[in-house]
Amino acid sequence: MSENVDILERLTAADYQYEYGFESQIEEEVVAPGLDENIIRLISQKKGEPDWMLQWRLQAFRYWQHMSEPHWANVRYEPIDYQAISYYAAPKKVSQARSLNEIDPELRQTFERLGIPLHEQEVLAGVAVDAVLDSVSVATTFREKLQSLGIIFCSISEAIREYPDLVRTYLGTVVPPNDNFFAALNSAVFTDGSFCYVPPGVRCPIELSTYFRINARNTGQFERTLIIADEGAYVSYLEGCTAPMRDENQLHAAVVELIALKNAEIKYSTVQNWYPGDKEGRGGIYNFVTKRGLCGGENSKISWTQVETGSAITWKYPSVILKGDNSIGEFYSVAVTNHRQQADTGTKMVHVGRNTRSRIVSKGISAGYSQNSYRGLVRVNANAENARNFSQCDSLLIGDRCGAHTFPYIEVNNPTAIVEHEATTSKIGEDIIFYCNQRGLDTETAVALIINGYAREVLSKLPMEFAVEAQKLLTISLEGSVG
Amino acid sequence: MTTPVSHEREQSPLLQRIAEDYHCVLQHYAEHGDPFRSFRARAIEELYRLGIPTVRHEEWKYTNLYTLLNKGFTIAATDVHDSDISAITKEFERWGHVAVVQNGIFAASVSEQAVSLKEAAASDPILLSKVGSLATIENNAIVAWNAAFSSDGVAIKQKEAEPVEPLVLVSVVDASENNCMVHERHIVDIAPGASATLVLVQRSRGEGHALLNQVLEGWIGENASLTVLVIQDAASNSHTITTHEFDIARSGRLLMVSVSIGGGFVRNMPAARLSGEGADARLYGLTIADGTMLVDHHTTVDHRVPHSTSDELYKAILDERSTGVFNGKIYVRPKAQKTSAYQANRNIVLSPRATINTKPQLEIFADDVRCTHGCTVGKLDGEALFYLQARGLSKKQAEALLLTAFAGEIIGKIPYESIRSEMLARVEHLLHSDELA
Repeated sequence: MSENVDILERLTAADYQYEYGFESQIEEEVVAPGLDENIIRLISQKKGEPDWMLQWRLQAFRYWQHMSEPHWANVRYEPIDYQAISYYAAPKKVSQARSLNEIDPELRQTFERLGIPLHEQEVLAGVAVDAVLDSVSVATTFREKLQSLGIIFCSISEAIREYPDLVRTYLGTVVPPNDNFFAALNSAVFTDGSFCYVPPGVRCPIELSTYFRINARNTGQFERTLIIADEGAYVSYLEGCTAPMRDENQLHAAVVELIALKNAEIKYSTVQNWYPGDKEGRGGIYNFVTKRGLCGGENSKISWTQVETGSAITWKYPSVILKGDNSIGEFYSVAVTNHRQQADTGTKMVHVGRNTRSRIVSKGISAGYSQNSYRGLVRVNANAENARNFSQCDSLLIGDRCGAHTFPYIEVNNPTAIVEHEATTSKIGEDIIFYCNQRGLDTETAVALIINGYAREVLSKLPMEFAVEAQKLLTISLEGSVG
Repeated sequence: MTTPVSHEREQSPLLQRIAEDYHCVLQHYAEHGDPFRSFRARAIEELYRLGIPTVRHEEWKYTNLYTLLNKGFTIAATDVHDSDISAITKEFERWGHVAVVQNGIFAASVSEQAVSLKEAAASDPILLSKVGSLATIENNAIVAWNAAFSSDGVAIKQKEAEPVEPLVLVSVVDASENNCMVHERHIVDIAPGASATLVLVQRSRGEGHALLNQVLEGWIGENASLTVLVIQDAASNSHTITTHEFDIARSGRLLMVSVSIGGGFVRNMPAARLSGEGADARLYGLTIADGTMLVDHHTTVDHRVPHSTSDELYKAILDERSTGVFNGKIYVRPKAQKTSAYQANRNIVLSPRATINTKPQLEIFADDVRCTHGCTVGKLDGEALFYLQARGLSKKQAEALLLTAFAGEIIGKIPYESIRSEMLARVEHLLHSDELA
């Protein structure tokens, strides 16, 4: 209850502002805008990458040059000038920080303002954090403890240098460089991101976490995350994002690849709170992300949980390819859009192996002038005997100027499959509000309460630390939408 | 809402062929008086601009029109021998008054309500202005194709409030000489308070492939009601593309039941525009497919005003190498508060080589609405089968019984006892025969 009061106070306070909208005055090294092979060579050189990596990037760049930007999503935006973006921005003073004390105090302050005091979290929460500011991974905490278990958790640049064989084996196997326009762009210019490898039979004892932040102006953030759970391993991974308030739009085109081998399990949670733009829809992040997991071995499991409250435009479909027999894919999502935000998000579940199961729970909430779309694919291939899918997509509309859309694609090529899809769209029932009013809750509190209940099924899948944050975010994102 | 298709004017031999055909028919039509002339010219330009949709087009993602069109179709000869019309009339008179359209040309009607569209439009500018005003050519290559080539069809005007016998509209395509494509266009106008029933069937002659591109535009007046039964039971060399669009005024009602149990390539695009308060649209469809049949239902329900209701239920039983496609769109416009829309799609796949692709789609811009859709794909319930087998039925009998019950829900929506029981008997026969299941 005290939590609700807290939320209420924030809600009723004067106009709520995007909390993470500050800009850190850190000296940054930013290369001139534009994209050609020389920029890619420069990025590769700055990262001290081996030649195969450079060739890989250049190949991706060539694919990208022959691709055209897709426009099928239910989102509208001004054309992006890819030559006006700077593809590399790095804080100058941070080079190879080994311990937390070595990193720029201003930078540490930035992360503290974001609510991720690195060392505090290290000690109290037992969460290992890899913080990525603009293009560069700044610090990775808790590394030694992980190392003793054989778990590799570091920035992807470091992994390319130190574990080239692992990276080379898995990079691009789930999301190939020519997969789509934004994946090709990412493959060519990705500057950092996280890498995680959990060896066979190891259960990662702590939650791993990455915090992404775009700080510099006119830059795009292209991070690449690669997580591998070897046979029988388990890992839970959290991702959070923020960006400063700016009038212009910034592009964020990340690629996340998950690989779960036999009996392995990966749980990937995202709380996405990029700057959504102001009330009139000026500025904000374009969040065009390719996320895909491969259940490669038998009995493997991949679970995506996402809470999407930020970004001017969210366009992503965390997917699972269920290749191993008996593998399981899950997708839990809450997407909130307010003001002029647009979201076109959902998932793809591709059933390849036998006895594969997938479950999709998507909760969309639209308010203001926003447009919120669920787009999902459930495909059962001809050899996927006994595949089972259940999808539930609910949309909630707050106000009469927003839109909620559902585009589920269901493709079944096997008679033993059982696929169910359910969707509803409605507003919050007046009778429910009335019931709450009667018991002394005002309408805004009642709505907050109902929304929380509505999203609970998804929020309960989040790790504890995130669940609290997500719940608050949810309420704050909808501030001012209840009339 | 519609995505433009790519420009393929230069490279497509198909479009070149269409252009050649167009010049032939244009001349022919001009000689016989052509009320649709200017409309035709606009339509062909739109068709050139759009091209024939490929699988890259979102609306044709799962239905490859080219596998059908590659068979090579010639535009139907406009000179018609009406020798067999009496036989056709006889075949369907048990259902009601029969009107026959042969190769796209109005041939005969025993009802005063149904007349030749061409002749009626030539003397009635209001009717002429209605042609193409509901099923518009913009961004719709199939309708534009039809508009460029169709020269006739049936105009149905229902004025009386008293119920009349159903009107059976038989489209005959003569493919006895070569593969033949026919474009026909119908206008249905139900006056306020009146009610009518329309049964649409297709027959082809000869061994060649027959393709019918049918566009029907219907206006349902205030308090009026229209029932449309689409019976698609033709042979496997008959192919159909239908665009049936309806505008429903205040408290108007539309009931549409499609039974697709025959034909090679079937694509139905029914659309209901609810433009008056209290308007109600009910669209139901049953597909039973085997062989290499493809049955594709693309429905659109457009709620434009407050307080309108819609209900959709489409069911499919797919065997052998057949393909089923369902795409149901529900639009709720910003002002259409208090809309209640329901849509369900249920599919049973019997064979490992059958495919179902379904996409129930909601686009909602108003908040005080109740819209739900559901979709299932599965096999027959093992427990139900066991229950029946435990009571002495063979596995085949049990399967047929369950499938008949599954299909019967749609057949039961047909409001005419005689047609309903006949269709039920045919479905039972189909599901009990050894070819299936």
